[in-house]
Amino acid sequence: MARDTGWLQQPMMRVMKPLMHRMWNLDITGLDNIPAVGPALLAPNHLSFLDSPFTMSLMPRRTLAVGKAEYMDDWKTKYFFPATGMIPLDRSGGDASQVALDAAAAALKRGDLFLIYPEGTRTRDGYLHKGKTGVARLALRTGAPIIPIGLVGTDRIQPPDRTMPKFGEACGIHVGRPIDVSRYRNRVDDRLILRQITDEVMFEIGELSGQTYVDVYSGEELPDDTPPITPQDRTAAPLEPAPAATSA
Amino acid sequence: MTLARLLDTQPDDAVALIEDGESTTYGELRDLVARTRSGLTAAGVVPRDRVAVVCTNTRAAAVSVLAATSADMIAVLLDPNCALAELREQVETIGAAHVLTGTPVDDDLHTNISSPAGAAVVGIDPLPDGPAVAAATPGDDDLAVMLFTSGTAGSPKAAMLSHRNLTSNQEAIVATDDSRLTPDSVVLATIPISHMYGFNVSLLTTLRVGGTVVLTTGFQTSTCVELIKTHGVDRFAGVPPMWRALIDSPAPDDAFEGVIRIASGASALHPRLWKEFKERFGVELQEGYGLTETSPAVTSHIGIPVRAGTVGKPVPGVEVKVVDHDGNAVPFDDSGEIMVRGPGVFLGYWENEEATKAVLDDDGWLATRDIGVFSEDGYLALVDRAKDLIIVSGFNVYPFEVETVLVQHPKVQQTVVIGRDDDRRGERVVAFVTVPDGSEPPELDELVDFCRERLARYKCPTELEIVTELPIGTSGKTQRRKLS
Repeated sequence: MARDTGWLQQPMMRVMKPLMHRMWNLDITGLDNIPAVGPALLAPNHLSFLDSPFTMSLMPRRTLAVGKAEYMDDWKTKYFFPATGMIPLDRSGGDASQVALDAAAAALKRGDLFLIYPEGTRTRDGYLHKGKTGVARLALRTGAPIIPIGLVGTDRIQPPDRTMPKFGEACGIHVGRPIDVSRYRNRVDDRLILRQITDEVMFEIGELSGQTYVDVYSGEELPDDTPPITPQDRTAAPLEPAPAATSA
Repeated sequence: MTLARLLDTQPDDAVALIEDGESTTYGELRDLVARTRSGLTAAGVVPRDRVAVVCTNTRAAAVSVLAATSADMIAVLLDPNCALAELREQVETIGAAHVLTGTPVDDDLHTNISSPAGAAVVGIDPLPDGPAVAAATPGDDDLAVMLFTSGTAGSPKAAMLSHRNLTSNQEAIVATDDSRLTPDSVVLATIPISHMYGFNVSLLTTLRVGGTVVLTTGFQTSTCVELIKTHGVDRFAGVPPMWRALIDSPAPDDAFEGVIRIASGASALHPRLWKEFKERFGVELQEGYGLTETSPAVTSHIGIPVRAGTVGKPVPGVEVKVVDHDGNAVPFDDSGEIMVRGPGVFLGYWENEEATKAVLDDDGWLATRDIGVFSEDGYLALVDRAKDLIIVSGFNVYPFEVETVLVQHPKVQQTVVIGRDDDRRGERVVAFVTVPDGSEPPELDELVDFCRERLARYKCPTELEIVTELPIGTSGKTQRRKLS
């Protein structure tokens, strides 16, 4: 009988985690925001090929994600990737994104953590891009909370043009508070509910990663009036009301 | 078809207009219009002249516009609620040689408009009279009417509408099967006829089908309810502040029992207000969408099930798309700018090519500057005006969304949300709030807590101003720029 997807993940991580801490300067915060049991969608920004292995390795329990079905054609990855949590995504059967969403829904139904990148693809320009609504759809469909994650510096460890990671670099994995989408179900107007949830997730990711947000999808041309990237202090005070209310 | 042919076929004895209880039949109306045509000519107006008409909702103003357009003159509809200086600027902008006006503003107008604008003021109470003359034969695409666009900043812009623009939109409105206007229809013209909806929908479309228009100037809840009852009004239109006033009035719960259709426009209708109106009167308000530049109807709920929070579906013959900043259509359920194309789309702004080019492309698409979202089954929902959009750390905050949440708070009666410059995040969300009579004003913290349960963090107000009233323009739109 075939083993469950991700069966090897946690045993392997017990070995890998101490090694990773030796190889890189990891700043991990907010892990207590990951629920001890039950499903949750992990939604990080996407900077590097390493984002998935890093995030999945450092979570306190099994985390699944989808990957290309082509990995199943290669003997080097055919057994290893599913064993570490990858659900192969067959793109030949029509709507690939629907297949991915169905696979994710099944994983969440089993109570697993599921990793999904709202931007869809890695950023090539350093901006945080407009989120796709799949995360929101999944959350509404399954009731699972969305946990925003801000990744910082994984692109320094392995930039897009490198095949091997650089050792000794620092990176941050900052886990935010869960976003419970059940409150959106009570909204009188549902005209933009998917977009509203998605933007809320992207805002929280931006707060955690310090990236400058642009309201265009990754891969699309940036508008002329795009502000330059200005690294923000990630630890700056969060959005709060003005100190004193004014009256007129 | 042109406006000159609008009154050709209705039976002589059918009632066209009712004003102060006095009826005017189609036979009388045709005669009045034919005599006023020659009266205008005698006053020195010639074909293709621009004639400004200070349009109160009166028979005299309606006849004046019908006479001018059927004599191949260009009628420029002016809103009598505008300040005199603004009216004078409008008259100067379009270079009108004549201003038609009735009581009660004519003395002031005479002084303010005739000098320095140089326009001759012609009284329309009584109407300029002369022997009845036949209508002219303007072309379908000839300029017929100009209206100044409402609620915008900057210098006034007059939208130019051709005969075809106006009549095509009338056709679109009567083309749908359900709730069709008929000669038996009685329409209460609550919206000023100086505004496109009041003019082309309430007045002209009703006349076109041979129905009856009940004219009333200024909105009072008691008058509205009384006129509906007295004349058997079966449809009317209004703006959200009217619905609030009616809900709060002592009008009986069955005040709109015989009314088939109540349309809502001008500004977005909060779902809570829609619900309150339905609970109070048992009537579902039908929100529609239109602009002066589109003659006006773009979408309506005519002939389709009412869906609160949406403005219905595009009317026949009008194309609507929602696009991103590159002009590409966005997916269903995603927001973008609403673009409109069709025979009702205007000719441009009078002598303002720059403003025209900014909104009208070579393929005939009009950029509305309104943000909307299409559902998969074709309903359009308005999100907000693009210019009202607040951008916090790059994220869009639509004031309407925040307002919809804030008005659910028991200490909030009405609210307007605007953006103010913010050093750290580009803009911040500021809420102006009126408080129900006898209530304690809310504290910012309690509103923020309330919003946090319903909105993303960046959408919650970070500044609160308690005000006694909110600035509402004559067309029912909130004048946000007065608050910024």
